[in-house]
Amino acid sequence: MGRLLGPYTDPSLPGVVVHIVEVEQASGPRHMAIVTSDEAPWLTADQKSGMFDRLLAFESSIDNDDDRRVWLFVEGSAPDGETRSLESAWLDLPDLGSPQDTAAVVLDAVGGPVDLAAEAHGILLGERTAFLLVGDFHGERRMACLVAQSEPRPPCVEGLMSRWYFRRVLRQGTAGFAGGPSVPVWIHRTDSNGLDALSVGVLPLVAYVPTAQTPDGIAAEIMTDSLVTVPTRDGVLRIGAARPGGVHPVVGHRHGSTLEIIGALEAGTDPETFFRNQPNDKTTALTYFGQAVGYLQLGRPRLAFRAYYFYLRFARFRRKKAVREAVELGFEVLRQLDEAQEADYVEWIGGAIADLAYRHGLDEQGSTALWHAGVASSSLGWSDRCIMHFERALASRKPTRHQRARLQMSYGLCLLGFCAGRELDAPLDDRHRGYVAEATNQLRLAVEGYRRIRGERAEWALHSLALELARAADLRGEHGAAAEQLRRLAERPVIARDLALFSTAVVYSLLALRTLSENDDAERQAYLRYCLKLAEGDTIFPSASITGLFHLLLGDALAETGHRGEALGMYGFAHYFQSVGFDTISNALGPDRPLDGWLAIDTIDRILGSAGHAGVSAAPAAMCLADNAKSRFFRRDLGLQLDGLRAPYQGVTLVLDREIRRNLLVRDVDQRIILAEQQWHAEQQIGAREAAAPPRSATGYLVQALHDAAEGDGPATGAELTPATLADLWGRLSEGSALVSLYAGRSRTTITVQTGPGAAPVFHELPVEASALQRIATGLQEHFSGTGLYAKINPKRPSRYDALFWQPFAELGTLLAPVADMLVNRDLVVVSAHGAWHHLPLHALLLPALWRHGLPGPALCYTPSFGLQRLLLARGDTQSWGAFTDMAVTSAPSRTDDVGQFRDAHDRICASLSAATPRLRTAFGVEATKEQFHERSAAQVHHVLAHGIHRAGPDVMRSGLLLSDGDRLPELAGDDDHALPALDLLLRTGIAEHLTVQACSLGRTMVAESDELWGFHRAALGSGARSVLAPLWDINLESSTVLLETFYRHWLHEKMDKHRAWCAAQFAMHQGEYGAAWTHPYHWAAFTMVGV
Amino acid sequence: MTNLDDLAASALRLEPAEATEVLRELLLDADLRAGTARTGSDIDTRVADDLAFLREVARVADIPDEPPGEASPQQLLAVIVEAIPAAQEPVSEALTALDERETSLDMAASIAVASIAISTSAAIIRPLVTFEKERDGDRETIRLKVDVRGVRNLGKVISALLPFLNNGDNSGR
Repeated sequence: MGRLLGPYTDPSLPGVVVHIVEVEQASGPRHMAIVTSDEAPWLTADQKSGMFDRLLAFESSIDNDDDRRVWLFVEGSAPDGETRSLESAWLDLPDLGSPQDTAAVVLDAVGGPVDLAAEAHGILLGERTAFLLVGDFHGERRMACLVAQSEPRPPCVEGLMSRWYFRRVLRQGTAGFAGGPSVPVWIHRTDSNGLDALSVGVLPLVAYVPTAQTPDGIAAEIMTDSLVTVPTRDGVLRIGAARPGGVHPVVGHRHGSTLEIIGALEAGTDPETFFRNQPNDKTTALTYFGQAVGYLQLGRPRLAFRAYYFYLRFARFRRKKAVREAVELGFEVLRQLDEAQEADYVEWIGGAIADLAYRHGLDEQGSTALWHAGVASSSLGWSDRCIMHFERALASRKPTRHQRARLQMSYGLCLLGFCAGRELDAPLDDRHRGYVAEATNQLRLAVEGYRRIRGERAEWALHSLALELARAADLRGEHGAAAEQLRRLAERPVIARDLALFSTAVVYSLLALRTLSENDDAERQAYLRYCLKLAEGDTIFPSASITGLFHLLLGDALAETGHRGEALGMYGFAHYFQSVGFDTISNALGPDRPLDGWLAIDTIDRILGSAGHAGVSAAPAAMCLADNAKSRFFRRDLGLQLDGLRAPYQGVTLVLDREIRRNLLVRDVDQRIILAEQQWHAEQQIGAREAAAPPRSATGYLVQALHDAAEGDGPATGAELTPATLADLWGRLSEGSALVSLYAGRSRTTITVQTGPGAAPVFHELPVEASALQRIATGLQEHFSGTGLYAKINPKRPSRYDALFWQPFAELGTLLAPVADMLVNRDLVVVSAHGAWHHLPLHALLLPALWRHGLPGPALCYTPSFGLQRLLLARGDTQSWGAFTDMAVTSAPSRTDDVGQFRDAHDRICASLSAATPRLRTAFGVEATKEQFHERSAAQVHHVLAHGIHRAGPDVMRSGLLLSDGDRLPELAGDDDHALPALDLLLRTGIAEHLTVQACSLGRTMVAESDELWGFHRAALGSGARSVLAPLWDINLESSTVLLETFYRHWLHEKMDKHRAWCAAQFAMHQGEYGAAWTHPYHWAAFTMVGV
Repeated sequence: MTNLDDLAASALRLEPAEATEVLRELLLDADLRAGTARTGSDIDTRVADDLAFLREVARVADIPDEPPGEASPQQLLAVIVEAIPAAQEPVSEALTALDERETSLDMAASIAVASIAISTSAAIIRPLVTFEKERDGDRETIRLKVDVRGVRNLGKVISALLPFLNNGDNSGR
């Protein structure tokens, strides 16, 4: 039986009434409280007392009660909104005072009004909602956000419960974290419907600094972004994510850069302390040291690398002994990485060991580490890094005599290796001639060095050096002398007995004889006979590059003598060894990362050239190999992203994992670190065995299939294209589709056409040189976008200079006629372009040719590769976008634009969308901010009308849109503050299902080695878009608006399929429905639809 | 618009970006007339060649290497109109084309104005001048022969161009 006291109120808190129930316990009187919104408690004192008795009994039974704890029953909102509900809550008092004192504390704990300002819905291992509460806390406007199950609705987000919950979160957050008072939002994530908030204990909270301005935007952002961002003094944003289990992955983030994971925060550790202590955290360093050792023992070098990476970050090296230990551990990791052929990681760790060793006077170890880094760079085809490592090692103070000779020899050998392949396709350029000169110099120095050293290794090195010097002579143009010298060397018993030396001698001889015989028929026939004889054997050499070159040279000879089938087999082997080399590259190849040497040789062009003559059975494998050679890193990273979507982990762990995967798509990050982190993270979640199982590479199967020696359809999983995954792609495309793949070799483009899932791919050759294609593409850009010295196109008289700019491209149309004939009556043509074709509007040639056959002709969409397209479609199975009726238009004119014209275009686009949806969200002018763009990420269709900046070169991922900063419109002259770069799309989560970018040139891309595509498309597709419509050149506002209006009318009003609607819009403009001037491809063919 | 004074005055009233666009039209027109129009070629190499040619013209014509003022594409265009009769018609056409321009969603031109000024001037002047070498014993002199019907005042054109030659970013992009 208890005493009911009160009611107690506070005039500054209207609508909060507290009744205290005093109950007698063995230990003395206890206070309980009922918090309601009016002064007429509707329960009797006995009833209240009974409630508390039951509550106390339960909490005591689970050891959750304390004499100083005041249990509360707080009025919440019942589901029907009419009846009242009471939820149990609690607060701890320092001392038991009078009932009035207790009531005052309770009133303070509940506090003033709290608004449920926004809700954002999403999928995080089931349906979740972010409930954003806004209220005053200690005189400041603050926010708390509960991310919980959407249903049943959490009791603590409404009524008086929301006030108690809000202040509970704020009290804990600000008390437990040094920077707490300045944190604008505290997030509480839970896998339940928030009932854990009502129980005693520390809530897992995440401090958050939102970028969105509005409550809706903040809630949406929290649903898609989970990370803590805390500004610190040095301008660095530190980001961490709290995991319910207690360990907090901690991530460092600099302004404008991407994630870098720097450690793990143990439960109970203050994040500020953690950051302050590094890199002087001995305990953490030792933990990682131990991890590295452990992973070495398990034979897991990439995970050992990750641990070593963190170890170096946290350790402070005061004593030389510690440095020696660190260097020795580094070499152990390096050795395992080397054995696992992880050349990319060897390059990193070699450089890192050298930094550490040189800094502490361990020059010998430093030079050895750099030797490893240099050799690894060479095998990756990275001449600049290779030269940097060797030059640094040779410039160090005191490499030993043997070390110096070895460095010189390897340096020379690597430089010559960078010329391999160049000579097969074209004469050496100045840079490579420079490599040959420097290689000759280094090799001669190495000979001098080794002559002063005794022993077998030195003897072997001198033989090897003789071969390399002969090769250098060949590359200098002394082919006859080189061939003769190589012949004599190959006859030396010591070389003839050593397979590594002998195979080198053979391949170098072939290279010399091949060039020597170019202008002499008799010599040529002798050379070819020699090659055919060699081709009778089955030869694998110790070096992958020598083996690959050997097969390539024999393939060329077989093709030249008409043995196409055998040539295909040889090229297949060569390609296989090359793809093994590509597999060792972790960092995606960017526009500033050229490949040199063996990996740069075009084996695919040779395979396609022979496959066309080798019969039907080789065609599917050749088509798949060509496809897999495109966008291989984008495909790999998207594949990992897809794996993450298929096997979602829990709560914030999912989000962190997603962040890691997304970072793979960003070029600025060292992807070696991200990949290692991703692997470690995956193992923590799904177990080592499953995570460690590498996807089976399809290359081996496809190479076998080239000559009908493979069984089945190849791997059905993984990101690569195989006959099995190709069948899966066909299953995801609409009926009546066709696939068209282009491959731009040096002297021809091979076009592969497959017109149905059962149809054999057909090859068609276009005799056009890659350099000519590039000139045509550059010419089009010069005229359409004004990127050259000549005048830009006049939109009202676009055909005025066609003879100079358009005609060279239009002439290719004649060559494409047989391809167009194969596509008649198709519904959709999916084109995977290659090389300079990415910059050219193939649709401007193909579609008019098809329209001549009658209507409706096929629609044409593009994709970076078919393998990638399959992943994009598969991602749609698991990814949720907004409702179909959820659409948005964002329009930002510049300060110098005619705002009226822009407004008119904006209104017309809005009108064409609004008739299809009741939920069109629009922003124009200063409202069209980056934040607003991101807030539209859940939309199904998002149309952006703004100025676009395409940045050619390494900065291509900083291409983007110019939007408002919230106060002012953007300026046209390179205004970075207003830019929404492609990189930002990747760093954020989510994007509309279909994105139309009505902004100049944002459909342009940069093509890096291995046909890796970079630009706005990559970012939009990588961050979740299914299709992106963007222009290849600078567009005209009027004609592009009409084109896109027509597209939306067909798609959204008339309910045509998206691709058909797009084709119909292009057709209407091409046919002159909007005037003769706009029948020019500058107007109707400006946009490409990427994705299906 | 055929009146010479009107044309020059119109050129001076243009915005710098507009004047630059007219210079580009002139360049294209000159290259097409000369049969040297090329697309997809290396801009840097061309601008470097054109710059060397104009410097040689200025040196041989003994034009003082002191820029009289700021680099102004409008001023250069006005001078070209006045000094080179053959340029008047294409300038007039280009001005008409400018009036037809509509809003585009691009950024400002990415090519340095100086590069356009240099190459346009070189393309216009090159067909109108010839270098003649004279040898007197060991001494070789070069004379510049200017088609007076084609260029009324070469010195004025070069002077208007000098600020671009000396101060401009001639790196092409």
